[in-house]
Amino acid sequence: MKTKLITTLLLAAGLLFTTAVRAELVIQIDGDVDPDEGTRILVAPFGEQAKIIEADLRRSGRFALIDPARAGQPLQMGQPLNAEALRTSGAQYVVLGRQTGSLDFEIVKVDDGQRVGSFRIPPHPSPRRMGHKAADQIFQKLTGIRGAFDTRIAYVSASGAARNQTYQLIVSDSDGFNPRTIVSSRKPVMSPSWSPDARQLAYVSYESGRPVVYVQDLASGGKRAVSDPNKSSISPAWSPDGRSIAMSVSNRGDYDIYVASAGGGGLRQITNTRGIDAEPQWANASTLIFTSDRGGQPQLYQTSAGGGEGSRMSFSGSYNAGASVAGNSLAMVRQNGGAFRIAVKNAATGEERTVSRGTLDESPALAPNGTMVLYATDANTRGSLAIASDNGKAHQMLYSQAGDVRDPAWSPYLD
Amino acid sequence: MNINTLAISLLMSAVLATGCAQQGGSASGGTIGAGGTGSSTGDSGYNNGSGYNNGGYNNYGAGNGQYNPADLKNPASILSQRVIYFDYDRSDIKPEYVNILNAHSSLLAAYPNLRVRLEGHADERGSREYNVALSERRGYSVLDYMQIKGARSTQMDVIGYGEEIPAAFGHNEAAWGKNRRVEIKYPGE
Repeated sequence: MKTKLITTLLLAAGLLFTTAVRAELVIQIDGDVDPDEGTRILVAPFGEQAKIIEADLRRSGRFALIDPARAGQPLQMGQPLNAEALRTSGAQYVVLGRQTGSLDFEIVKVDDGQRVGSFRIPPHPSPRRMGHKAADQIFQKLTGIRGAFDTRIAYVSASGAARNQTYQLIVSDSDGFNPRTIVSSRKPVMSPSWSPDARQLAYVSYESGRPVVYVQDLASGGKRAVSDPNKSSISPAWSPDGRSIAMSVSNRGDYDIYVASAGGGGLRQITNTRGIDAEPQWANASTLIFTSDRGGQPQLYQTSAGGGEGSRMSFSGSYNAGASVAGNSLAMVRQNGGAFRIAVKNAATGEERTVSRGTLDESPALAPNGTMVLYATDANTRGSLAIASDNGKAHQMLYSQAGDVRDPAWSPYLD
Repeated sequence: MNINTLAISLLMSAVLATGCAQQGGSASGGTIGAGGTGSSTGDSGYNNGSGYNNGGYNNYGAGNGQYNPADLKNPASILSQRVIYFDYDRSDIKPEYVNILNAHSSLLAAYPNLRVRLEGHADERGSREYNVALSERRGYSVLDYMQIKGARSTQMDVIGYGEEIPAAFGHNEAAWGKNRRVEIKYPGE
């Protein structure tokens, strides 16, 4: 009885705080891997989840999708394959699958007809998530890198006339499907940051009249302020252990980096310089990367999470800001001439690449495996999201018909 | 008829402003009378010229009568101008806006209980977070200037909105120039 009541209350709370959004993001593919540059893979048309797998692999910039019509045969799991016809299709690998309650699938190498992997995704309330989980398995098997398709993103949508907009904080699957509005306000909302367990979001809201950092639980909708309500505080970033939130706090327009307890309070000052220190990110449990204009133009600096002014770490380009870190990958906004674009640097090899193509690209958010970067851009004068693979080969635009979308954050792995 | 309506509405503004000034029990009693006169003629100190242009803003004494809160609603008054604009990535005040800030400083100096919010904004270039800081810096550069000109820092609050509340949409200098701004907001605005 008691349990039932609690369940009902939780459900009611869930309904209150999870208003469905009418318009999902529309995906437009703007660039793909050339067949001779990526792994050529053919996904048998075994249903909706096969389409999700195709879309995910394509987005990674590592796979060239071969049209299943070119297989020259029906492709059914458990049935013998005509290897010669498959080789003619150009595919190196074939994915065969069967959707029942669970999703069973296998990867076959076309060269020798050998099965290189056989998988089962157990039944899940979200069939789309099952497709993403399958794509994660295929990605890991063929690249050696953990897949990050079964993840979520958070972003901000703004709609309405100039000076009179409505702001929404939205959480969706990594491909923009299943959007849920978790905050709707007439005051600006910005800078979402995921907790490491992906159950809470930190973000900035102006609802009290000035920018304050809040933490909101996604399941219950319950929220609390974690920054001093009397000081403007921006750009929260959750620490890898979930205990702390780095942020940038103003003293008369002079912003410095601070670290607060994720439960609120315990504010510690990390930097103390003239100018703007903002956009902290955790490179690891003890190192913060942030943007500072102390040298004149915004550049990236790093410092100990224990405190310290930090040392400059970005040297190419007159303007580098808005770092996003995942493993060895570092994404940033870089100004090239008049254009702001997203650059991705591999910290292990030192290799850097500009991966975006717009002129006002910003707010990069790396997937937890570092292979894709989600960012904000402009498409036909409308604020849109875009995803680029870290190798710069795959490009997709995610735009909303309801308004501008921007300020994305990519969740950690979900489980 | 129209003039009467205007006069009444201005008078009401003056009454409201008077109430405001009296709340704090400040020494601006003399100003109230002067303000009433100013508003009922539908004119402002600025257009009368004498006070403002002959360096009268070195004299902040209440009852100077240069400006009163009713002038905020008078399109002919310089006080109806509440927005100043900035160059890209800059927070220094451009000379063409000094007169506007001087006028608001004088008003605040004469009405110590009047408060304003200085709302800073930025254009869309640069990161959103950096723009919040930049826009707040613009707000403080207005605050610092107005403090030198006689407004008290306790009368002014600064908020940086970054690029979040554009005054104009568009990805060109025409829109950007309108968005790089500080808006002076009085109570109720």
